[in-house]
Amino acid sequence: MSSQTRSGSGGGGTASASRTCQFKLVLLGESSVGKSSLVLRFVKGQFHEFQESTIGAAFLTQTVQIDDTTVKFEIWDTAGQERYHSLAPMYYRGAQAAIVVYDISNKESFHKAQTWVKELQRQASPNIVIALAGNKLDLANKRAVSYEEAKQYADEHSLLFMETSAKTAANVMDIFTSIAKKLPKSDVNEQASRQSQNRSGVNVGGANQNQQGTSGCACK
Amino acid sequence: MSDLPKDYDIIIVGTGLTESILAGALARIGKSVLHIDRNQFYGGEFASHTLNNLMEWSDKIKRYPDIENDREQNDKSCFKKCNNDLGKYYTEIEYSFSDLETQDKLLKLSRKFTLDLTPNIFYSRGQLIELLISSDVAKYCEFKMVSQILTLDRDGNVQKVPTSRSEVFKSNKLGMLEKRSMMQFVQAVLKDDNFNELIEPEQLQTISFRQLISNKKFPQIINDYLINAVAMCPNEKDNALKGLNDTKKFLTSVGRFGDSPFLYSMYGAGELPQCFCRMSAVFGAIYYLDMTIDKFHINSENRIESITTKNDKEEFKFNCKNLIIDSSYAPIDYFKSIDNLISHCILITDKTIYKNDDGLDHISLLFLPKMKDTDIYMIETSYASNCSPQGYFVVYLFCRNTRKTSRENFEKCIETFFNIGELDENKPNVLFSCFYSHIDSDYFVHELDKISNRPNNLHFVSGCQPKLDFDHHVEQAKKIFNDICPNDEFMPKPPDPEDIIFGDETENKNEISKETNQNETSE
Amino acid sequence: MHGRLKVRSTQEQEERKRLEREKKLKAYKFAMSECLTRIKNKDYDQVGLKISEELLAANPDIQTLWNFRKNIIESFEKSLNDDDLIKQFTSEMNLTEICLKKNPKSYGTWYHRQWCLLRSNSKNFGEKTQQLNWKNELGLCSMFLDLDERNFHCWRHRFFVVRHGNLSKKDELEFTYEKISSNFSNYSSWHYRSKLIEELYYQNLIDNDIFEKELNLIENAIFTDPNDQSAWIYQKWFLLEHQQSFIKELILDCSSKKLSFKFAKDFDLNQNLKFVKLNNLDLKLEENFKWNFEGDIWNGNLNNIINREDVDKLLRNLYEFKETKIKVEIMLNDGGFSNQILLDLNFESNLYEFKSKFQIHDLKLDSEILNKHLTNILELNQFEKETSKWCLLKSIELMCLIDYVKYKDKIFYFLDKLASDIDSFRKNYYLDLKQKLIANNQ
Repeated sequence: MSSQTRSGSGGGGTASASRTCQFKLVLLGESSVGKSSLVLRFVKGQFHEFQESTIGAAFLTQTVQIDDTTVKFEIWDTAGQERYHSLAPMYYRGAQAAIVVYDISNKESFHKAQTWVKELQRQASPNIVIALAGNKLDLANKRAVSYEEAKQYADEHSLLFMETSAKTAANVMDIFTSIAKKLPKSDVNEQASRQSQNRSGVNVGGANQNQQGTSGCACK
Repeated sequence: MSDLPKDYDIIIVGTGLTESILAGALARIGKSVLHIDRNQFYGGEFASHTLNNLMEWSDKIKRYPDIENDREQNDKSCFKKCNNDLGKYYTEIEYSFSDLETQDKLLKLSRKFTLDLTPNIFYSRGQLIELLISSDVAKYCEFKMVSQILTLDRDGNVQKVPTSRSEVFKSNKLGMLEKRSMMQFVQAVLKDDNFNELIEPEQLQTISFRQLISNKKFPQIINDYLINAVAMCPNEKDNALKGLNDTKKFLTSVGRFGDSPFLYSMYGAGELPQCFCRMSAVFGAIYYLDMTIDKFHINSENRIESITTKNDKEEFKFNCKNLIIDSSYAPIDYFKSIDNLISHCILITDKTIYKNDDGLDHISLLFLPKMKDTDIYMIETSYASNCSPQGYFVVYLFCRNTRKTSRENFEKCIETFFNIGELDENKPNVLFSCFYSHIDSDYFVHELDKISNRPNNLHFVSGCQPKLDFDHHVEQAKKIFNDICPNDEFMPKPPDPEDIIFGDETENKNEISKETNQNETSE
Repeated sequence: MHGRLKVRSTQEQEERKRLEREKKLKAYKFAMSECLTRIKNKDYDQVGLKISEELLAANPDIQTLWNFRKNIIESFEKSLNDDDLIKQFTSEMNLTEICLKKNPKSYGTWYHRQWCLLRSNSKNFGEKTQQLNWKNELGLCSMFLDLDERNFHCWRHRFFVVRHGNLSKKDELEFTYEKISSNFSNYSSWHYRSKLIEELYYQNLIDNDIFEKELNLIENAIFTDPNDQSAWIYQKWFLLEHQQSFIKELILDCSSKKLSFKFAKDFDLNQNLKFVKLNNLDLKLEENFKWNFEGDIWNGNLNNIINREDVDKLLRNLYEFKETKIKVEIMLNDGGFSNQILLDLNFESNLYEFKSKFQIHDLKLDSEILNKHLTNILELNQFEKETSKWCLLKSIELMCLIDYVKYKDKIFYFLDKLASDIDSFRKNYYLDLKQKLIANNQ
């Protein structure tokens, strides 16, 4: 893959011996502000003028290297559920980071972005890192939201802020990197096993599954 | 909203669990799906609410006018008007706070409560969990162990039942030989499917599970554990085979994810429909909440051709090849008076019903056989599942209704466990209570399916049942899926996102070869 | 509107994977040869650290590279100040942790980690940073034990940490209790417990409370599942120590041909000894042979025996070939099985020695606690309708230990049952056992 980031988390000759932290990052914003395009640019280094909705991908992953830590993002896209105001709260459940996207050439999308920020601050986990992305910077000649206005809003609400373009790749890498820098980087595996088991849940699809019979009645 | 497509393979009305599983399964194999719900939230009667939302929801149901809808219109067979009066489904609903001060306090914490309209817990090896794993939907949700299986002993004390080998080992309630008796029985149940070591084959269906256990002459404590907490088959009509199978399901579930056989979904059971809906959306289904079906149109071949939907602002017409609807949306003239009711009770309390000395928050299950004349399931959730603020507990009770009002079913049970009337420091106080009953939609769907001139591409889905696990809904979804797509696989595992091709295929290939400086040999 | 799901064909996936593998291999080979050159030239610098780090992260099992890193760090110790050294050791801890996640059973990685811990703590760096702290290290052990409760590397590391970090063994005993509770079939946790008890009570008294507690723990396990071996094996260790613990010390001096015993209870060895065997050679004591009691030690001179020549030969061989172990078998008049004790050669003193690991306070074999234990096991045996092999076998052992004469009939009945019915596969073993008992107790 031709992205600017080091791709994949696997070892191999180029892997650096750093600790890996994994985070769930969600994208929010009105339809057609370029949420999927941002992800595709970041993850695959691609851009398609007429991006079809992405079918079949629950989430994509990409890693960013911050000092000696590998930050692995699990990036969730809305799957179009925002279109008719039908995004389920489970979508941003447990997310440690969010990018709220608006289109700088569309004032309404900026207002909608503010609603999402409010929703996140009310509903999502209290420590969530939120970034505001003014996308479609390549359409600066049709700008409807000024940089200053958005910047001021972001500062007031303690959001990271950048104007981006999925088309030209401007600031795309940067916005993910600045989120990665701001996230608390303790090792996930470690957290899970060192803290008391009480607060962490069972992910039935994951590795929590006991080998059969170790503690079960079914033994032998 | 002009961009909304008009034609669909399947339109699904209602985002309850069965509908959501179906939406996921159908979108997964490439069917075009429109999925709508009359509410602004997902889940229908499977939703989880904040305290405020629960109150709003019940106020709304209470407000439903019992208008006599246009029956004559419906008799013309070209279209049928669908029900949107929740009062027809929920026969009764009431809620109250213990006092005004508590009300203020709780309402301030409203968002920290997740209150399930259809609470449930799941066997680790039940069909729902298996489906979540096989379909990868498990990636969207998290679970907690139901860490305490409780039972009420003869003296009216709550006891924790040891569920695993390790808990039997640790138990200080069981004597040495009692440990052995229990383990011997457990091992015999797991040994083979015919339970040869425990019972003669001809007796499996002829004697009750209760009888089988009492024949074994176990100590009383083991009887209680096995009948009331493990098999949960206390009644004479539960034959030995059912009891042994249920015991086996319980036992094989133990140890898969931990010492308990049961899981509870973190943030409430209302997460589950949302998870399946997300999967459905990821595979292209269109979601439109806050829009309900008004009527459907039937053609001369007795097939539904299109539906009309509406919300506050607009009306739409969509064409579909199949229509799946939750029974609460069933056509008005299909509704008849139904006596089979299921009753629920939600309580917010300030103490747990069973204080464990480990100091942790727990999720507990307590099965109460023959409370008055019905079997009651009791689930207590806590901060452990993110369903209540620290220091508060949410208790769910549900059963088949055998009384005049919903509340009456639970009165004795509430008196037993909670501080009602005379003050007992050790018992939890009830701060908030909500009682409601709804029709047994399984029974209702059974009746609906019997209607002779029912359009043959119309599928009814039922709601919650007074039993553990959601197996029932998985089975129902599979059955309807097979009716519609008899030759397709039900929810195969989705591909690894890494292997999905984005954008133009050829472009992507070039990229690989550019990167590796090698000639692509494939194709 | 509806996008179609496009997935790479299996062929494409394979091809991608192959290319990726090829690329990795190339990089790996290059880095490896670079490291080897540096090792040869004794190039000890940061670059070497960096390259070997990446290689080890991909393959933790290259001992050469761990040694390379040790050399680099040792060379740094002369030049770096404390803070920078701490940083270096900390980064070694991170690296080993990453490697262990890749392969939790990598010998080289565990050893490197132990080396770092010892080295840095000898400079008291552990007090300055969490990652080099002994106590903190237990957290890592717990984490790896959660991943694999039978990882003996990790159990061994834990013991290493407790010992060198001088951490509370009582807390560890509690930890093993939790581990045993969560799965009593995992012998690793029982074994760790036995090691702790040996350390905690080394040559000391175990009081009745703990004795009872251990037996209770064992009973809970065997009643929950009599066919699980772990608790039975632990019981054997525990009671065998008990049985041997009336011998506090046993010393064989090959040069002066002296055998000496130190007992935990008072009795006349001259009256009560049935036989002593050295490596299966029976010492035929002369009629006027006397064990001398000096201080609290019984001494015997091995010159005064009938088969002196054989014994001399045995001792000479031991002495010349510096055999590390010798087996001593003793039988007293109170019946049952004989005591078999392994003596280790102490290279400094040139003596073969045995020292009991711990003693149990109430040494009477008919003690209440031990009798209760036997009663419980016999009860379990009945409950199992005498079909549990372990139950039968352990009842036999216990009855021999407590009162052979009293239980003689039952012992033989159980042995016959095992041989003929329950475990006929090992028929000869049980019949041998029976013969031995008869012979020893004539």
